[in-house]
Amino acid sequence: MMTKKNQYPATALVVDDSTYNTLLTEKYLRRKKWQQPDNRKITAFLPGTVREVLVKKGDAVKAEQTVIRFEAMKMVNNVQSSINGRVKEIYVSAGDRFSKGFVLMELEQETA
Amino acid sequence: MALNNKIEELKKRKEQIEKGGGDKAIEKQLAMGKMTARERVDAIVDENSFQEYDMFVQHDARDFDMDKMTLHGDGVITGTGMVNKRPVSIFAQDFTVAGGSLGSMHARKITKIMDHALKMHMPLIGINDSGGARIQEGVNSLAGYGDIFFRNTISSGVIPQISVILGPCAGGAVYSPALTDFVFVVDKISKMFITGPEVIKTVIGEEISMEDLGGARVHSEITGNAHFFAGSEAECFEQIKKLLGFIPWSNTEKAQKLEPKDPDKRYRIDRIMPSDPKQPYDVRDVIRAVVDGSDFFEVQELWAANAVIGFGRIHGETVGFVANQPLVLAGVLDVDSSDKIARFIRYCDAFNIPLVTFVDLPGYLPGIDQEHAGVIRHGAKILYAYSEATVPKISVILRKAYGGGYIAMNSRHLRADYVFAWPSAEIAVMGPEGAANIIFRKEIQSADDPEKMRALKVNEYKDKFANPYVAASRGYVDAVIEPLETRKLLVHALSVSVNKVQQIPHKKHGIPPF
Repeated sequence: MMTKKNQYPATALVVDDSTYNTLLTEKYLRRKKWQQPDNRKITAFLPGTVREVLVKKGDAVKAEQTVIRFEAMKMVNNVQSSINGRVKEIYVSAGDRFSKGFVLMELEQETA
Repeated sequence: MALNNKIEELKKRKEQIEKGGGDKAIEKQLAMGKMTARERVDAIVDENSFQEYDMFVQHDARDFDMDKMTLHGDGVITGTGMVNKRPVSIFAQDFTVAGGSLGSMHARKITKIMDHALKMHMPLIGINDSGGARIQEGVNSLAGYGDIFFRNTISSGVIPQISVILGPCAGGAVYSPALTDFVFVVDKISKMFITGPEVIKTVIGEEISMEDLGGARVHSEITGNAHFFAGSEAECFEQIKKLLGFIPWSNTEKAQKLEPKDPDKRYRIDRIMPSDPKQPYDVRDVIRAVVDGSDFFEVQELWAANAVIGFGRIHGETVGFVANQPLVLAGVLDVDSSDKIARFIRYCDAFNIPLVTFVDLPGYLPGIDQEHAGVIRHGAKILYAYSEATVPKISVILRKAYGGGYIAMNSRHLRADYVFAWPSAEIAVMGPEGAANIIFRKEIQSADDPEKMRALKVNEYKDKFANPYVAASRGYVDAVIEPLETRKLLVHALSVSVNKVQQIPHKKHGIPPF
């Protein structure tokens, strides 16, 4: 049967400054908000287990220096710092398991 | 032994094999709310039309005590039958036999029926209900999957391939359905995933049920891996038969022509669409208003609902419909709807099914998630698919056709054969608000009352450009038509396109933006 007019939604979507009266999908509503990447945070790109933490709090680190080794997906991965800086905080120690996206370590930018 | 005795022996052997995994296993299958493999085949084909092959095939695995195990039919039933008096090839995995696990002979039975279907130019229907690879057979089981995937790919675009997921279909096994044309799923029964809940729990530490990970609903609404969702197996088989009624048996044929029928008079095409371009309506009502018997068979109804695709008949001939759906997300194009539309166009083009496109969209969905998900690459698929298609291509611009969306939706520029527009069409580079804000920025900013000036300029732009006549003056639109003339013109356009010949340069194949 023809869809009745009063079944229409009251939600809105803006495209090119025009506001359209329309339904929003579940998937659209559940979309992930974008976040600015922060290279001072060393985040697990895979879930895994910490093998070895190679630095201590307060240590100076150089870009591309390996700071943590962890095991994930049957492989040992070397995690490197992407900045020159200092270790601000370490949140894991050897043997800890962590999930994807977990912050393993935080660095401070070296102020020149 | 007299022949009679031998016949008796044959009957006995067959009877044994037909029991599959035995009464207990069958009981378990039924308790899960599932039909047996044999019942399923019988439910799809015309009565008594199924002929089974390779019933006596046995596996030849020797390791892990497999030599002591007899697996009836090696866990799969294969054969040919008729659907509405037309031949089809079928295989149905039998979960009651070793969990429908795929070993080398099981796979060989499947590839044999696949080769048969391709050679005889008939559709292949695969019923998947399997725990996956038969681990005891090791790499031979993987070889079996590879042989199936290869044939799925080679047969693609030659014969219709239909996958029916009626149980688990996990790991590598999912790639056979993914390579086929249409995937049918049934609520609570179908489960598809690459890695199951247990592996995810161990590796990622996240807990999720099979249903939430890869149930029928998930694949129908979120992933788009499935094309048809049914509440029961019986409903699913009716959907399969309905689909087969619309499509041709191979790429060298046209779909069956039926007796033409008028659309249902309740669908008043001139009363469906609100004239305000910001108000929604269900574009499927427009399709129902033009197709024979108002019978529109929608594909992927629940996924990317901002675009509508499906089959219907116009004057007895099967047509593939593509439409923007203003009711959902204002009908915008995005990653999912682009994939949905592009693949359907390629399906119709491969199987000689003319395309009718109804256009009403404000453009592409704005958003960081969309850009980062590659909406450029995905959106490009629509351009590619329409440009490449050589079947008759007809567009009807109902209302908005703005910017890139206008070009993508089977515009003249992509070699549409006919472009019709309703008088309500707005064919422009963008919506009036956006355009006025850019073109008249200075006037608006410097006005004493910017809002009043903005409204004035928006109206000015609307009057001048929000219509079909600018495009028609350039010949981009062939005819501006009244809504009530739509079906008549579609019948006309399709009937004058029957001898369409369009060559594209010879090539091995293009490189579409997959």
